[in-house]
Amino acid sequence: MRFHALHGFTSRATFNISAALVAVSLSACNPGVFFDLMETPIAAINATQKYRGSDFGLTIAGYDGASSGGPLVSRVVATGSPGSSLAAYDVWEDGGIADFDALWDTCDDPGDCGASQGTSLVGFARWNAQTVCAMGAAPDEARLRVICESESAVAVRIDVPGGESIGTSLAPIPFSKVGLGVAFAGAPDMGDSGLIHVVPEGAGPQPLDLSSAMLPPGAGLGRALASAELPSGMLIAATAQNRVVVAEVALDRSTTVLGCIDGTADLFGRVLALGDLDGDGSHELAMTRATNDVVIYRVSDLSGASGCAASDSSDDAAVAVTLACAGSDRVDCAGFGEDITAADLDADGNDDLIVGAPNSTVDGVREQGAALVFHGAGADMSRVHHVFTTYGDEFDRFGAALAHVRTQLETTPRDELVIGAPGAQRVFVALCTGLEGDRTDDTNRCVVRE
Amino acid sequence: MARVQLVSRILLAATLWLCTPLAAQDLPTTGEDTAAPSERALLDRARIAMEQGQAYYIAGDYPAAAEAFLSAYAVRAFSAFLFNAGVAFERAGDGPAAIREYIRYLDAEPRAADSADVRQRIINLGGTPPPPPAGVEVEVREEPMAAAEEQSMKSLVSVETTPVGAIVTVRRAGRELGSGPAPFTMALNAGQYQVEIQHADYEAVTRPLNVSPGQIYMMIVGMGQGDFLGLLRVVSDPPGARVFIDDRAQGELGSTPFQNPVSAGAHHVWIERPGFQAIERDVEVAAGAEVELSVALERTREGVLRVTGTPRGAEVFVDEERVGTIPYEGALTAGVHQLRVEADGLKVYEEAIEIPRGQALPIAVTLRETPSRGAAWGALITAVLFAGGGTVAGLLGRSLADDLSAERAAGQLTDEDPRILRGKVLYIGADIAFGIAGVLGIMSIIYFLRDPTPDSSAEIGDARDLAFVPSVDLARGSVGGTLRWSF
Repeated sequence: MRFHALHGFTSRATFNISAALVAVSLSACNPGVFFDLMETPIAAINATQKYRGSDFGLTIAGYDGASSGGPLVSRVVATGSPGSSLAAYDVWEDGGIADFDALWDTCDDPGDCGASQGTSLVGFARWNAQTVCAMGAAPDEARLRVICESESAVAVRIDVPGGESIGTSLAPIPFSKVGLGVAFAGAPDMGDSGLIHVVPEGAGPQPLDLSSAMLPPGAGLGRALASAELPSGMLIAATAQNRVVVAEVALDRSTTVLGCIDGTADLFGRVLALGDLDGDGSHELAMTRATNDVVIYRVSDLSGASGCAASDSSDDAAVAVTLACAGSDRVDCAGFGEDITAADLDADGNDDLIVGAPNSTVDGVREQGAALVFHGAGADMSRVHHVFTTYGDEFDRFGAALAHVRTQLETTPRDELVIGAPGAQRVFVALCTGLEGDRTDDTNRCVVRE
Repeated sequence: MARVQLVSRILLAATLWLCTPLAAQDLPTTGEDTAAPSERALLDRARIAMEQGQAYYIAGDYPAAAEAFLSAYAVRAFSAFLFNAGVAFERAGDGPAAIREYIRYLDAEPRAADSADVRQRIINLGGTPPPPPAGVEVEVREEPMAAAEEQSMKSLVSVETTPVGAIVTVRRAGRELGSGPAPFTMALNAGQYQVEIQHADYEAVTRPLNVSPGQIYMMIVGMGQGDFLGLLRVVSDPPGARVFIDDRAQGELGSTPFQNPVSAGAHHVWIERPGFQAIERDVEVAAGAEVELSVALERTREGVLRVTGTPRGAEVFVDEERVGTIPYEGALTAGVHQLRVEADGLKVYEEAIEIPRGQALPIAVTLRETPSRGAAWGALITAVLFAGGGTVAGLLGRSLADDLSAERAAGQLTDEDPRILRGKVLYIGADIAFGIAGVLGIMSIIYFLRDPTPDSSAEIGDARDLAFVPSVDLARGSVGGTLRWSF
């Protein structure tokens, strides 16, 4: 009898204590905290299982357009070392952040993936009746491939007779200038000193006349290429040996060389970016002059074609800003300038410059890599405004490739940073990342993924 | 009328048996003759030997008669057998043997009435009789012994009385031949005798005895006390008390209700019963009167506690004082006491008991094992370990969550950061550990509180009256008694 009474007491006590323990433990160690933390500002994209190649994330590009059904979408296309397949991923769809699922992965047909496949990438809104297309270049095959919609099948294969090296570099042309074309393509081995082509919608590449750049034979123009939209056309910057040429391209494909910048380093002009970094309404050219040497020029400072006369930098425009990455306890800035891109990450109307430093040791992790943001129109543009890193491993090489992709397409489009980490076989999309002056919401993100 | 009946019963109680020679009497024998022959059996065997000797003597086979008489003497050392053997040897012409047996007779009966005759027989045979003992004058027979008398065998008379110890006197023609306390034995020649038996508390008895030669006579006398006695009746409430009269050292005479004839006069009476206070009274009993002494016994202020049960050797405490071990028996003042019985590894039994006045309280205690707490401690320790592990995991997870939250706030956290999964594992692991710790903790509480074995218990019996159980210690030859009670 006594035990029965005790048993009743212990049963009630058991329930009460158990409930208390569960409540305490769940409140103290609620795993939901970590589920919430998954709502991070940086989305990771892994290579698809079909992906064939290595160093996924070595080459990336963002693009957007209206899909065949009408809604606006944006995507990221990525590949690895030359010869790898291309893979595209949703970023924005149905008015919100997508789930970054893989849309397609090429190389189902072995003929689609040549040895140089994926050397460069670019995306555009339309190719004839097909929309939302990505273009991958295989310069060794003198071939460009266009893949549209969500189909992995190659929509268009553009072979350029005698066009070896075409697509060594690619630069986008926004849909608003589709009359000009869908992209620029550099072909450093074509012509006497290399050619820059316009790839018109539904047609083969058309070379641009940049003869006034006074390039010597074998200059190899088109090793690197950048573009920016102008009211009347496009602004391009292209790299040749020891010279970067800046020119305007009108909608009729006429060109005006604005000037040249000369250098002697092997990596001079290896990476270019154009954008209005200082908010003055005109563009700046950012370029890597050498390892750990990134500078900014104001395009308006270029002295016309005269700047292309001399083979040295005596008649070049002055460097407007020399970017400094002094390093810190966390990031040592190794590989600073491996890639750069200009995008308005904080949506303040001015482009920001993002510089990759993939060889940086981050928190003691060798070559984990980082991407450093230089605030456009900032008081001191040379100062690192923000450092993107991720929790990773050695040799992830985060920041080896940089691009941007647009979101909020239906309202006020804004740029989101895309970062490749080929050592980790990953691509990251930094969504409205909380930069100073950024528009944030309660979740500390500009756009909430659903 | 009542007095007449009482005196009649007393007189009827006085009985006398005057026995004929044992040869004509059916004497009882016991079945233990070979091992330890009773007096009656010895006497019977001596009688048979003596009858054989008498038969040989009559037949003229004197040597055989002499041997038979000596055999009888060997069985029962009555001097008459020596005398008879001497006569038989004398008749057989064996003077020295006759002289020897006559001398042995005189040695056994130095004050025998016929010592002068025996001495004369020795002298006649050429022997020398032993000197008479100091203070004894030997009468000189003036006339010679007749021939019939010379050849006469002696007989034996044995007197037993109830009560034992009465004085027996044998007379012949008014002359006292011998006297002594019963049981009394004496060798006699054939002839007419008177036997007188006297006792201070009984009426004297005198009976004639006609003795033939060569016979054994057994006289058993039950003495009466006459009408100078009275009857004393003692009753008590409750009954069963022991009654002692006049001399307590003599032991109890009975128990109440008690009645017994007592001599007229004043008597002191003790009335005792275990568990009750003893009572002493003086009573006066008139001759032929019937006196009743009625008393109400009052219980004593103490009782007895008796603790039995298992295990033996368990310690017994009364009112927090150790008094002994099981089995325990001890006197306590009547009233409520706190009893505790304990032993190592066993559950303590504790109870308030009430010791009754003048009675025994039996308690049979069963101590049961204290349950092992090993499982409880094991569960508790495991619970603590799990709680500790959960705490560590929780703290690690908490630290990780803080770091990740800071990184997310800084815009540096990726959705596939492996630390998120690690944090989930830590928190879920911590929750599971807390859950397991909670369950184990509760189990340990239950194990600590749960007692699968019954409590130690006791059967408290009804209070029992005490009783006095007499005992005899044969080894020490002592007599005593013990207070006991029956169940």
